Amino acid sequence: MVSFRNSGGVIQHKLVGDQNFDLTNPDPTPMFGDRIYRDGPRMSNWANTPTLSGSVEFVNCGGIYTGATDRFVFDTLDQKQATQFALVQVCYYSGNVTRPRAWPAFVSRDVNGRVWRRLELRFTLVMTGAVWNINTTNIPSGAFMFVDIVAALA
Amino acid sequence: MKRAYTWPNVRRLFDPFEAFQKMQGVSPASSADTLMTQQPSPTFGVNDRPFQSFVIKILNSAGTLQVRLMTDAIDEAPPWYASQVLDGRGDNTYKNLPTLTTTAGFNGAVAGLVSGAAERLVLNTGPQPPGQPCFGIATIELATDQVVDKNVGVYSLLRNINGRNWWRPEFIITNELSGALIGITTANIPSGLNLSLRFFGFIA
Repeated sequence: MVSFRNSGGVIQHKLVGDQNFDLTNPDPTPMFGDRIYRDGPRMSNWANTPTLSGSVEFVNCGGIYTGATDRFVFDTLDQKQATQFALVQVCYYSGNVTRPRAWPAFVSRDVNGRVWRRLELRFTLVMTGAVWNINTTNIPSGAFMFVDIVAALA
Repeated sequence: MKRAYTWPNVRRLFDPFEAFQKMQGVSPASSADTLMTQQPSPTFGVNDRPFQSFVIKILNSAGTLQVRLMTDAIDEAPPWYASQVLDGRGDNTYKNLPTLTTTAGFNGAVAGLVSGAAERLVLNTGPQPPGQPCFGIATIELATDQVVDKNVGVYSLLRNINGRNWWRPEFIITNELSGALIGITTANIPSGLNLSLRFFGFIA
């Protein structure tokens, strides 16, 4: 599960497991996330969500891609199109602005010089299908959004 | 002269599907349910947790909330991928939805509501390993209530139910827009209507 929050006007995220889960204090222990590229940040707490680009690295296993704030990219290895799959679901949202829906995509992007196909979440409005941006408007201060993920990753 | 072996004769000697079903304690309740024996058995899993996929259907039957497992929101057959659910996984009849406390258990139902927290539905399973419990994803497969738009999440929580302090899968229902807790009550599921929750994942 990946969780997002607005902390003092800044979007933050972290990967969490679902053990001992508290809707207002998500447990920081990720479960079965061994396909995240770098293990070090997996056990981390909240971190500011970076804007990824060809010269900006992931933080806490992910980030929003520059120019596409409806997309959250995971720090995975280069995925194989023949075997990839993912199932994702917004399981909690407390923003009280507009209803988000998540869907998975595997896209080749240049993140800090590595052009790899990675799992990413894309968000749309439930009602219209228009893009739903991960920003402080849609996730106001104090609000959370959790997205559950089951995936097969290389 | 060739011997007249036929596939049905071979199947009568040993039917792995039937054997697995007996192992699960599943008894087909109708002719339609026997179709289930033609499906492959769930032999794959992650970290010794078998793959599971089923719907928990909650029905308001004349003012009483009832619960059962189903293959999907409309398929009456017991689900094939539900081997880790205790008490009634193969029984396609509704049971009254119990209220769970430290002294009140599932009473034969596949799931129950936490006393004082009706937004929490606990699945009736064995103890999940601490540290790396079950995992999966939950969706609202069908909701006919016309009362409130909802989200559902499934989490692993430690809870004492009828003296058994175990980690189990627990579903939490919230308002889709505000995140407010939404109780599984007869007010939110009016008479004759239902709520169907899908679990897709792995349970010890």
